[in-house]
Amino acid sequence: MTIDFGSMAKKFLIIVFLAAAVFSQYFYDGEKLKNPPLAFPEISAGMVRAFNLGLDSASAGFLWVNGVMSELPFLREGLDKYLNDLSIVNNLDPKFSFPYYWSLLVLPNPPKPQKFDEYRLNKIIEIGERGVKEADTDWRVSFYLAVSYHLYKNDYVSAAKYFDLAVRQPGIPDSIKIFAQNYAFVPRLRDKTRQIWEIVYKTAQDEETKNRALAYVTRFEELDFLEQAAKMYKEKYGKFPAKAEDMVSGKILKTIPPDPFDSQFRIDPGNGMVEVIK
Amino acid sequence: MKNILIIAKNTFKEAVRDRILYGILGFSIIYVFFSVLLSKIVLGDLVVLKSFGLAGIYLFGMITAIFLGASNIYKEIERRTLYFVISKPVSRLELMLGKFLGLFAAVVLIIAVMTAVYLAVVFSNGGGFDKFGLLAIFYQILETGLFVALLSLFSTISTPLVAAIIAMMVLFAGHSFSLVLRTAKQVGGIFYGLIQAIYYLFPNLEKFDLRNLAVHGAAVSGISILLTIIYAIAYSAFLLWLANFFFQRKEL
Repeated sequence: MTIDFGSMAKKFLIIVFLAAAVFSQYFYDGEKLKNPPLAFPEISAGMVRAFNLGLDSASAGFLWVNGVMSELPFLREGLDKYLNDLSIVNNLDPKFSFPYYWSLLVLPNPPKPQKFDEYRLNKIIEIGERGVKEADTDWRVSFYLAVSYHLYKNDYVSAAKYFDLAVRQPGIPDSIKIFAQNYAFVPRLRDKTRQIWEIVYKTAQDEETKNRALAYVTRFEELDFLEQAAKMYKEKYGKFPAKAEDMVSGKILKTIPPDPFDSQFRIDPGNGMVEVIK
Repeated sequence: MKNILIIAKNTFKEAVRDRILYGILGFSIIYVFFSVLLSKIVLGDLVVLKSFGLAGIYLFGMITAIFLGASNIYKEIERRTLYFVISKPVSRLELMLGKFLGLFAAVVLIIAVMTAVYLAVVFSNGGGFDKFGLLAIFYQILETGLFVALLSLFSTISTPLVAAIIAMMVLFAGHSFSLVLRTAKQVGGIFYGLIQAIYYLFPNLEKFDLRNLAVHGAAVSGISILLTIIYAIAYSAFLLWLANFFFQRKEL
């Protein structure tokens, strides 16, 4: 029996080469972790345009679907990063309406719904204004811009202007059109706001916005319910309750319903109107 | 003319028998259906569905043209099948035009199959008959004609790999001339004049890009359609003339 050392040496060498390749990759990765490469510079619409063979609309759609859209509402990389990415999408295809109205609808969903910083609010309005100017005729852009003006800026004149614009856009559902047409004629601000949240609840397609809208609708229902209870209290005791808890001690209510955002209710002893306090 | 048509018919038959063509076609159809899934992510937004669909038809159409066109003439020389043809009463010009027409017809067939799938997908997703998309695809066919003429030229003077690489470079450059011209304008001077000369002399493919407007249902004027058709025919004719010029002087 003879041993072919030449053949064995070849096999051994192959294993050595393979092992060397595996280990060098392993150590290379270790080095890379120790010295992370410099961050790739932010891309711009111009850079994308230079290499996309003129497929601007498809590039905008791809960037939107493949990352930018999923940043909402959590903004894992921060608001400014989102705004920058959105502007790339908008610059590549300014007529693509989805990013505008989706941002108007979902961007106002912060971790604490009552707290908005002015910067974010202004950016939301900027996105909407640009959408109205540049996007395809889409009722959702002007409608949600009007909603933003009403809910977050308390600018009812601008809200009325964009609701009126939404009414004249094709494809607006009849029930929403009726509300938008009558926006200026609904007497109580609270009723207007409640109707807006009901529409947002019906039309929003993401769970975060839906839940937030539902919470607001619930709050408005509770306000009406408590005011009704305050009237019953007055019929029984001849005066409005000084505080919400009086209606429990006066056996009008079993409990005070909890506010969806964990705020407290305050009753005006003069007229029985209920409002939300911190 | 009869010779041209016979050569075109044979080139077409040979192209559609190519297995790689079915591979590309299969991938392209899968891609069009995949764009439906992507559009579902954005709640069935038709802009996304249409832009992805039209982009797919464009990219796969161009890939087909490059695969088939880069070796169009070169292959005949390498296989020495060209000698059989030119030993018959067929001129090199007829051969060149026949090869161009056959290849162009094969690529148009592939585009037509993808278009049928695309239109059916848009229709079934509530987009109706996408007439603007169809116009964008017509523009793409014009661009494909010019591009196949360009590939025929490269195929006569270089190897398939080099022809494919140069064609791809021309494709990218042809779609970014406006951007380069805008940048050059800011620099000004002789550089701007040079870029302007390149802008007008080299194939400007941006005018064939109607997709970005078509997905939003925006129309173009009849004059611009006419000018685009004239540009495509004139430039393709020039490239074929140039290809013939080199082919006539080629030692076989």
